[in-house]
Amino acid sequence: MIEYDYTLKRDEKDVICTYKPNNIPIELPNLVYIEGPNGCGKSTLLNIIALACHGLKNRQIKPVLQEKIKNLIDSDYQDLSFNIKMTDNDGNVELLSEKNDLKNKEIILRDANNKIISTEQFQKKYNLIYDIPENPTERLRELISEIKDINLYSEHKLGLLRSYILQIINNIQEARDPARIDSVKNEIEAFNEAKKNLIKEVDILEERLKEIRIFTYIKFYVHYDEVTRRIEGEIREIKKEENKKGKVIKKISGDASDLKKHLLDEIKNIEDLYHNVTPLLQNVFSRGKEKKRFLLWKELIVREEIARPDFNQTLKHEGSYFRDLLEKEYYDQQKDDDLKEAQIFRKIIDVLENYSDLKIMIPIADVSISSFIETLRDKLKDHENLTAKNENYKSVIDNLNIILEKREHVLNNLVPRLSKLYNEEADTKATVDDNTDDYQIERMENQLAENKKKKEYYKTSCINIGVSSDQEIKMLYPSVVMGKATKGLNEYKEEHLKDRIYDMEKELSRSRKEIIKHDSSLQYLSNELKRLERKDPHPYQANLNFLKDILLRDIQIMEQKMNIFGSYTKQLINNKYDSSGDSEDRKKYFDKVASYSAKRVGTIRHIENEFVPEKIDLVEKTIFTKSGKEIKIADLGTGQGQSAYLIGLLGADDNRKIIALFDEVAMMDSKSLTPVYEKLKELYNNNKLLIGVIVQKAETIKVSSIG
Amino acid sequence: MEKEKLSLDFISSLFEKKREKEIIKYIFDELSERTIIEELIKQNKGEEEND
Repeated sequence: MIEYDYTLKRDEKDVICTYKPNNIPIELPNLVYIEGPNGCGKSTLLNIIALACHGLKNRQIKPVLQEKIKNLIDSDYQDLSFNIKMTDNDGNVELLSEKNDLKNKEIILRDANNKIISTEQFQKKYNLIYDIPENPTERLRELISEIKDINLYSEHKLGLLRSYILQIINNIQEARDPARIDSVKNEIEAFNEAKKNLIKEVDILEERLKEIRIFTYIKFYVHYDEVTRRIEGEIREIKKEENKKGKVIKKISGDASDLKKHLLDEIKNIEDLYHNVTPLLQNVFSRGKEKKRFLLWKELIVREEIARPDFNQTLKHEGSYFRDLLEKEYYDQQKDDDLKEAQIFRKIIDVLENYSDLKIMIPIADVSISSFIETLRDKLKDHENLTAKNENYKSVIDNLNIILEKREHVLNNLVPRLSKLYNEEADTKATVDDNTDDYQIERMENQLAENKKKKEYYKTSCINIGVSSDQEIKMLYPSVVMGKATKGLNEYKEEHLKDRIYDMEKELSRSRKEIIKHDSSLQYLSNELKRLERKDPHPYQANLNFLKDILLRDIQIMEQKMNIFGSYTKQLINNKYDSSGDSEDRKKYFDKVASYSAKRVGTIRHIENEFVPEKIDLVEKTIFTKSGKEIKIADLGTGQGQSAYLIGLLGADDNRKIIALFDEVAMMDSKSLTPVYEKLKELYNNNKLLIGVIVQKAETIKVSSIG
Repeated sequence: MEKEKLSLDFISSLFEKKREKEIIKYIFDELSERTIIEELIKQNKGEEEND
């Protein structure tokens, strides 16, 4: 039973009218068919029932009907009050709704226990169907919008599931992770090991640097001390000679003066070269079978050989002899594969250093240019002695060649020319003072100043490493410079040794910085380990891989699929099919929609018979029945189409009790309405329907019970 | 179709893998996300043990 009453006050400008249910009885059976003319109140009744059942918040109700419902309560020209009671087929009250105040918008809906029911609670328990089946063919298509909602719901729920999984993954990763703890422990171990190796490396490097420094500083301090003494002696000798000559200054020609200065320069050059190569020759020939010949070389005096070349020829013969020996050794070294490798590496480094700032990766090696240079440098270190030795030999060979050439030039060219000038011009062209002694002294004093500077540098360097007195230096010299421990270092020239010291200092600085970096990494890892160990494990820890690699991926794929299905559904709703990229998947989807629609409709009436559809193909606009009949949707009688649609709506199977309100079923004849009546009765008898109201436009008012 | 839900059948029919169908069923049974994940983990554990 439906018992109702309402008051509707409407401002019609000239008068305020009050409408009450005067035409339609205020007590109606649960299943009722109402006919009547416009304005008799049949649609108002449906709108009030819908409003009472939270119809304003029901998304399934068409906008046109929503508008009508809203208009009842939310317009400034009319006010409404109502009460409705709905009882079940046993006469028990099931729903009570009221709006007592014309102005107040509050509507209260109560259940059998007089308990207020919220919209959510109502929608969980009841399915309010309020519809106007205007165009049956189009309305059949609207069933598809249900599919759209199902799709959206599924996609939404999958999205929630994905977010939840991501949250769990995040929580697991933030929780105590034994694998991460092990990994941090391994990292700590690796850093400690690397640090230990670095410290060892630094110790070795520091020790070696100390050796090289002490060797270099003592060796070259003594060397420059000797050279200083030698030059000082030479200056003294010249001054002594000058004193012997008295104050008489010989007059010579300008040409002779220039030539004499040139001759003295050349002799000085030979002497310098001689003193330059002698320590290197000493390294090679001071022991073994060449010892005696080296002693001859070591004791020769360059100026005496120039003064008496017929008598003294040690410079010439021993110089040539040692040069030949060294050349042979040099070319033998050149054949050594290690040396070749070192030379090639050196050339590559020289070329690449021009591009070391570029971020280019070396193919195959897959390292940056600067890293590649570092690797080559490390390799080069293995052959460092070999390269230094070879370069040294080359330098001694070149210097010996220059000595021999200059000796020949002095003896065969300069000395005879000067003698000739003296003889020819002695008394005739002598116009300037012979100041070549002063010239020599000045030149030697310059050289002396330079040597003293270098000696001072090495003296300071010795003090810096803790060797402070001359006596200490001289005491250490035999063991440090001549001793076996530093034998390899004698192969190096002064600038090479200084370069090596510089490189080693750089290397040490780099390694020390590396140790500091390791310390800081270890500190960070130690804190991280403490932090990780303080955490509690996550209950799903063991399932991390399943959640991350399997489940999350599966759900993402499902979401993508739902999204694609949504686009297919949209094509069905709009009756516009995008044939580009037509796929098997889309055909399969439409086929499943056709089957679903057929099941939703249940039965259809066509001409005189009822059919059970197998598929309703909305693309082909054809209904395929189980009995094998094909019916074009356009051929369906309008009333039959409405019937199929309404039965479809009533066929929703979600265990909720239906409240069915159908307005203006105008095109349906009694044959088309019968299956709808039957469906309503079936649902009502099975307690799946609370009320069913069908209204129809007619000339006169007629209210009849269905069934 | 008394007991089966048409819409569940429809959405479920769009997927082929067993796990996908189960997820759809859980969604239509209105299980919470937490319960769905618990169920799926339980099933996976069972499958792993059977393997």
